[in-house]
Amino acid sequence: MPSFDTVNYSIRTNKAIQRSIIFDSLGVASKYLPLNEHVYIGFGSIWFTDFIIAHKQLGIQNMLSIESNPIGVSRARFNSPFRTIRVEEGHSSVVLPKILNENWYPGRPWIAWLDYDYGPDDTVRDDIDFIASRAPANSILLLTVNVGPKYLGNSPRQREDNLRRTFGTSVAHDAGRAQFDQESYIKTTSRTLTNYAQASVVAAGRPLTFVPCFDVAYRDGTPMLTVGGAIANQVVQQHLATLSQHRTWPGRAPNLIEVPPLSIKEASAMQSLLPLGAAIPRRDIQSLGFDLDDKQIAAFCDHYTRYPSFMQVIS
Amino acid sequence: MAIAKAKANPTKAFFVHMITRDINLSDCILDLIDNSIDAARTKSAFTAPSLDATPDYKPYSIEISISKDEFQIKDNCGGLSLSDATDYAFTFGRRDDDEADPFTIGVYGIGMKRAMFKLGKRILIRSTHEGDPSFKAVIDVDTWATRESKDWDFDLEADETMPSPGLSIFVKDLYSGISDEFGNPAFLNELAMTIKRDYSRFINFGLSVKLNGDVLTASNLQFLEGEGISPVRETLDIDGVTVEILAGMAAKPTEGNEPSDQDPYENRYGWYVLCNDRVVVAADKSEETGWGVNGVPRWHPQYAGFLGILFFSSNNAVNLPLTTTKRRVDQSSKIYRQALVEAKPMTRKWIEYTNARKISIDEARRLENAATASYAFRSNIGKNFTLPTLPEGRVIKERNIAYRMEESRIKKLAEAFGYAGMTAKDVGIQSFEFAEKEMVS
Repeated sequence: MPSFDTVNYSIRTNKAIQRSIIFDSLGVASKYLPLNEHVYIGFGSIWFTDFIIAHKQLGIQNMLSIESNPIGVSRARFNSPFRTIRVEEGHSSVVLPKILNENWYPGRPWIAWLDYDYGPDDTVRDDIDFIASRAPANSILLLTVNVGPKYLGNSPRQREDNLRRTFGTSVAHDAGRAQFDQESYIKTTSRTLTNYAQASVVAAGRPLTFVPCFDVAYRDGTPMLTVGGAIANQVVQQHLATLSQHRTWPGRAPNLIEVPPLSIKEASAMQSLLPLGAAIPRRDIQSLGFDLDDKQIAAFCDHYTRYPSFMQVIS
Repeated sequence: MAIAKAKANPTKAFFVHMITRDINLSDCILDLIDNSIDAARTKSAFTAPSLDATPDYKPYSIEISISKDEFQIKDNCGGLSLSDATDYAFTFGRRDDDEADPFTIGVYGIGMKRAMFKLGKRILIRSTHEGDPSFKAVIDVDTWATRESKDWDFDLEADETMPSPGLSIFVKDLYSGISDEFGNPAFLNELAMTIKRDYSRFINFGLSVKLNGDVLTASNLQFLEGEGISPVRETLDIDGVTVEILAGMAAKPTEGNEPSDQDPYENRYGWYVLCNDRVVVAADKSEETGWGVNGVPRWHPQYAGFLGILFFSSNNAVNLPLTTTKRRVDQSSKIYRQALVEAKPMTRKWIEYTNARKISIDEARRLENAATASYAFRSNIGKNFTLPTLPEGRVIKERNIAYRMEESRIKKLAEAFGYAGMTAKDVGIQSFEFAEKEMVS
């Protein structure tokens, strides 16, 4: 791959698009769920990008950032953008039970976005179980996991073994080896994690249902997958199930989001040809004076409304 | 002289509550499948189940639809005759004068009722049987349970004839726990996998089973053969019950003791018990099939890869060693105990092999990898259980290195080696090889 196609990690174009999709979806859902009353739980790191959007876009005030690195904790506290963000040191498996024991905003539903930098392993599974069994009714659970070869494996066999070992019968019974090949395994992983969350809520025996709402895969170098949904009571379940199945629901991206890094000039030039109702023909791009392949053009056309400005500063 | 009679009849509500408590949801559904298969077997008058028999189930199909709101199973396996329905099928427990059809699996006459009552409160049963008027029974469980206590009967009404002779059962107004499970994809996956495994014999014989529109294919049990590896077959006749015992290597054993070293398919290994072709106990690793009793060690992940099959067949299901749920064996059965005695040396042989291969692991792996898999239910299996003879003279003295380390550190090192899913054992080996290369070579 040519160097201009490689990812600039400080910008992470596709991560930004994915984040925008998720928060836009939450914005739509807030018609039925007063999300400004939720508490936000995430891994804010030192950037707190999602926390800032959660506050500014959804009006969420009370937030918890979990940070396992001791140095990271002090930097997180220093960089915390709002006084209502609490930073807790430890892994999610330790911090989540702790805040429940402390009665931190008891009864207030959560938006828990656990944005892991590793794969769907047993710690992810245990976090799902904890949240499924303990999070207040109408909480939103979002999981982002690394589905690159380093974590799920290089071969279909390794991927299948890993998922079956960790998530057992949540892997579809009819998933053959082909469902774990390069073309299909991200969808299979998404389905497995969603199944597991549904099963985990049922296993907890609560009068709640997991309503799958999110399925977004993207790649900035390594492929990442975000899945999630609401742990909803009957009323919210009916609204969200209808809403999230509607064709206008933004929370599901049918294809891997892989928009190439573009210069401001390139992005602006392409944007000036949109909207078009279809992808811009390649010859039109060439007429602009540069070139991209068809897949890159299609990706930009799909997501140009969320394409981030590289100069954007969030503070 | 008796001066009065103390009432001892059970109430209907208590009875229904009791019989539905002791069986899990999947097993109820399997009970209904058993009924369909028994009807097909009776209709076609198949001969005794055996390793050589190839009954033709191609004409028969069973379709199951499950959603959060309703359950339905329908088959074309012949249906219930009006007289069977009137006199036997709806009684709670088999009547003494009800002679079992040969080689069926239903013994106790409770499965269908228990399944329906387990699922929900509104039940519709429809039957079309050749040479009989079609009928239906509509059961509102609450109304039935509160009716006059002596009246346990169900009304059978005339019904339209279905396209082919068979039985359909619909259940609505599901209990909330049942509805939750029916909306749980993991439950449906597990049910599908269980059906594919437990009815693999019938599916291989042509039976079509669909779950929510998906055709279920058989999960076949297989033995490895070649390179000095061969399964064993032993045939017994115990009090008129034919018992086939098959055992062998299904896969190479697991190496390593950490949870992450475990074979993700370990749940396929162990002993299986089949009664008249139906899997009653699957991949068992408990005392029920001899592990951990009478000098046989308890199951350990080291023994993964073993496959044993106890195959019972009898023209009278009463003689088969199964419980009412058809998911356990009746360990007090003399027939079963005698079969276990014969099975024990096979288990022991496998255990010995998994110990022996540790000291000649490379040669064992080479032979195991070269062996090929073949279908387990075959009559052309010999009387000798053979496993690779490993060369003692070439054994290189080895020692174990064992140490504990924080899990997150192991994961980080695995990532650094290029694959976070690496087992703890492989991280240890790679670490050793890395250090050896840097410091010794």
